[in-house]
Amino acid sequence: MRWSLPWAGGHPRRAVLLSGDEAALQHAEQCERCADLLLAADEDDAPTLRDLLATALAPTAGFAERTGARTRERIEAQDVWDLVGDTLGGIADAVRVLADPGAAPPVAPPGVPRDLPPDTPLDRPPGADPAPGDPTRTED
Amino acid sequence: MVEELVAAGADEALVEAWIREHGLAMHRVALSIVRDRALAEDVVQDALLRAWRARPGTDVQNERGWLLQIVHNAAVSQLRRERTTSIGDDAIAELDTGGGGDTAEEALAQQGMRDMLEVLAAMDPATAAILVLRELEDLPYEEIVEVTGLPLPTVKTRLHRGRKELRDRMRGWDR
Repeated sequence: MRWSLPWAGGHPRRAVLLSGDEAALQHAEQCERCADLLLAADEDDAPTLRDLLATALAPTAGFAERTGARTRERIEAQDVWDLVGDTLGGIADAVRVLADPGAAPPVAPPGVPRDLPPDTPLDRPPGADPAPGDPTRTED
Repeated sequence: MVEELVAAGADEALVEAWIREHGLAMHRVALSIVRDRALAEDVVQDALLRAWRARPGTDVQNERGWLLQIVHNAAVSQLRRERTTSIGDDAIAELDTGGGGDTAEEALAQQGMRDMLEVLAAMDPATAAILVLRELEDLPYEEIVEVTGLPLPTVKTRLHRGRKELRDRMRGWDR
């Protein structure tokens, strides 16, 4: 009877790889040659697998409508929250100015987002867009 | 003010388009990882919100790949938060409440879906996601690498493992 080593040249032999040997599979996770061998040996039953997966993972009725409605609600809530955050930040700045006028940071004029980098010019008129290529430029 | 910020329906139309074109794929990827239909819907909403927030200033070459990557990462994050719960039970219980079907054929199909969900629930989430991305969404291997962040040989080996697990289970149904 012919006998051969299960591994040769740093790779598991094909039969060992295809037997499901865990060490061989772990090797294949790092080795493109062995991974390709595994895929080449896969049986051609993809359509059956696809059908079964598609059925098992199908969303419940009304998924698209529900997801659309809830995502829109969350986007709107996000906008409101941003607005509230800006307003509260403005109030906090005003309180700081009253408490210690000398140490207070400059308050951003209306229309300028509060989280702009410190070197961003603050004299831009509200609504005016920076030049194309400027990362602070808003999208249409 | 809110209405103005939502830009006269422009963002609404964009989100609708994303859901129409990629919603099903996003849901499948989310469900393959979190294994709970209600949670998968939440993950898809999270992903859409993240995409919507990141959109300005993001140069998206491949919208489908970009959205699938976002939903994959959102699902993995969700799974990490939900580690303590028994994943998969909800989806399987949902099928149970649907009854066994009116005919023998329906009962068999119901059993098949139940088995499929069980085998997915027992599978490593990364393997389940790779199976879905390849078998259902037909993503090239390179795109699966981008979406999952796993090396190419790992993607291919996990795909083989996943197919084998499903195939072994299917053979069991014939007996």
